[in-house]
Amino acid sequence: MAHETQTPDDKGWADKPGFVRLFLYGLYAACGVAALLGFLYPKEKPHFALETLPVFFAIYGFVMFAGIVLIGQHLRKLVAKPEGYYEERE
Amino acid sequence: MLPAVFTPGVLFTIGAFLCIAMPAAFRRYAMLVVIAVSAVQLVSLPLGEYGAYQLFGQDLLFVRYDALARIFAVVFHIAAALNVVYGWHVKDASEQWAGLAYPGAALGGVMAGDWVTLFVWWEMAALTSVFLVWAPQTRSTYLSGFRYLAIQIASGVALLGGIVLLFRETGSLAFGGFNEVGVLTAAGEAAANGAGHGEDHAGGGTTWRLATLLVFLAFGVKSAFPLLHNWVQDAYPKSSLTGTIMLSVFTTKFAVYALARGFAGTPELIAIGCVMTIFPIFFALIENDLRKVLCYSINNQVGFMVVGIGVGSAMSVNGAVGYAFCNIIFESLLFMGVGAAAYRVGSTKATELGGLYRTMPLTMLFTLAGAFSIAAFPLFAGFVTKGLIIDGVAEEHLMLAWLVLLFASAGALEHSGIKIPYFTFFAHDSGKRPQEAPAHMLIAMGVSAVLCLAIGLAPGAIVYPLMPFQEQTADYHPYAMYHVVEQLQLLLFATLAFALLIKFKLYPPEIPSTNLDFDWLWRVPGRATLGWAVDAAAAVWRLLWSGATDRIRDIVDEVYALHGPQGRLARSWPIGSMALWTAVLLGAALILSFISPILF
Repeated sequence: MAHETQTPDDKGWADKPGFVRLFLYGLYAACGVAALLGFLYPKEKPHFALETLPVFFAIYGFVMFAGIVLIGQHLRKLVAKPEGYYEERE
Repeated sequence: MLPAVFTPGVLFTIGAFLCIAMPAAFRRYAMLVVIAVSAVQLVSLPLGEYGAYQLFGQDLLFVRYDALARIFAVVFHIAAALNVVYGWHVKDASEQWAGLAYPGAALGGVMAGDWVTLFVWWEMAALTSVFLVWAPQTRSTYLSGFRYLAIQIASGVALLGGIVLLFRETGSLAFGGFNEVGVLTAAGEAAANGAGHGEDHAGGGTTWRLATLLVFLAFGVKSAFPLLHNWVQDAYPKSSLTGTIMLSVFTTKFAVYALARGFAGTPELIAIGCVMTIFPIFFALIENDLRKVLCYSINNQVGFMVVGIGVGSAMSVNGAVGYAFCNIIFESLLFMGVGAAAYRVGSTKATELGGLYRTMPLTMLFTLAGAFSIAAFPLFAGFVTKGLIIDGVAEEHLMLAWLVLLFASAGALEHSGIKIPYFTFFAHDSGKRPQEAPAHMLIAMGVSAVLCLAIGLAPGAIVYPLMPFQEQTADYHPYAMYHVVEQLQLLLFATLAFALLIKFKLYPPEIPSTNLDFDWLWRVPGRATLGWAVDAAAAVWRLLWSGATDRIRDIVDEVYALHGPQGRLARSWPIGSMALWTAVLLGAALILSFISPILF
């Protein structure tokens, strides 16, 4: 388990602003293309009316993910206890 | 080829004992040999029934090797072999013994043809796996192991109760599916062979009686149904790094197999599975221990399978068992990635990891393959099988369940697709610069990653031929353009949400904490209540005991007073007095003998 420890300001390739910018622009572009393809390739046999919306999955994915994170983090207020909570009682 | 009764389950079990009898230096090689021999036996064995025997006048079937059993048996072999390679550094004999005996029990179980054989392997799986929980040999793992064992044995007891009631009702011990009238039929077997139940629509469900409920409960405990799930988060993360991976593979998937065999087409499973997919997402979000995050991920993933089984159509059952096959590989891979980081850094906590991509690039790359697979990105294993479940739900026009599964897919992306690799290898820089993972770990992770990609690229060559309903697989085209686009939209826009939440600092920071779950009820108030009950019982016992001892003491005192050295009956009597009383008694007897003829 021996390992070297270096100072956190030693930036790796993934932390460099250029890479972060490239990743974000790439992600925006990929999202744009995926949304566009939704118009070009509609579902052949939709089971629900929602599936006929070309960007339904995009909106649903974005909203649900954001909802999970923004709402879910409040669960901590209900259930979070200090580490060792059970160990102290057993 | 060995005789058919030497099934993988038997070979693994014998091999486990042979291996621990060997010197440590040979043990790992011997384990691989055992797995290889078993794999050859599995491949050589044609589908069919073997080892029919009679016990107490009942017909039992030791081995039923059909398509449903085969897909689980194959992936259990792959997982067992990868675990041995990944754990090449392990020297602990009990852990190595469990490394064969535990998969052996699961293999025996998925190939069991009757309830009695299933029950025996069911309990064997519990007993062998607990050694993995105990492996770190700390007080915490010791207590956790006992909780785990108690719950697993309870599952076995419920199963046994169900079996007894089923036998009383049907007179049969054959392990098959439950149909509408609640008696055992060959429907499950036919379904598994792909011969019957080929319809695309779900069956009529299960009629609930005590027997079926008990069996269902037993399967539910082992597959970690909601509120019965805590043993996973309690026991798995406490095991050794390698033990956790093994545990993640076999128990819950063995239970998924049992549900697929016994309860395919049971609508209640759809609701249960939906809940299973949702609630772990929120617990995983706030969890700091990444192995515990993956344990919640197991619940979430098994939920997908449970829904597929509940729908019960050919497509959805194919999806459920196919997804189990793929999940075993990519979920293990994620555990391996976190385990390799922990092996080097000594922690699985997100707050103590981060930035490891600099010095562990291969581990990062392989973990990303697992993350892409579990998120079901096109070209990876999850995509070609999870779609079968979701489309199977849509085919039945179950809109709410369909929306829930899409929601759960976004959740799986969050906790396993992004959180695991992000907080292990990226996120904040922990400042730690460990070595790359050892070669044996890299080999195991590399093979797993290649499998994830290979299954995703060529599902028709690897996983689809193993599915129980072959006709249905011919009709399914995962790479239909609209399907790819739908999935890409869902995942890319969810990733965009993540990126924006990070950018605007809305993503919650990792905080070291213990997050209470349902097991709090029995670990804190339950434990306190039990402690109070024990104290109360002790107090009542003390009261009863002191009352009884006081009474006995009084009696002894009275007897002593009468018969003791100073007692009246122990007093010495003068001889004259004795003679006088003897004469009185004899006189009385004489008088009585004279008057008795007159009186009577």
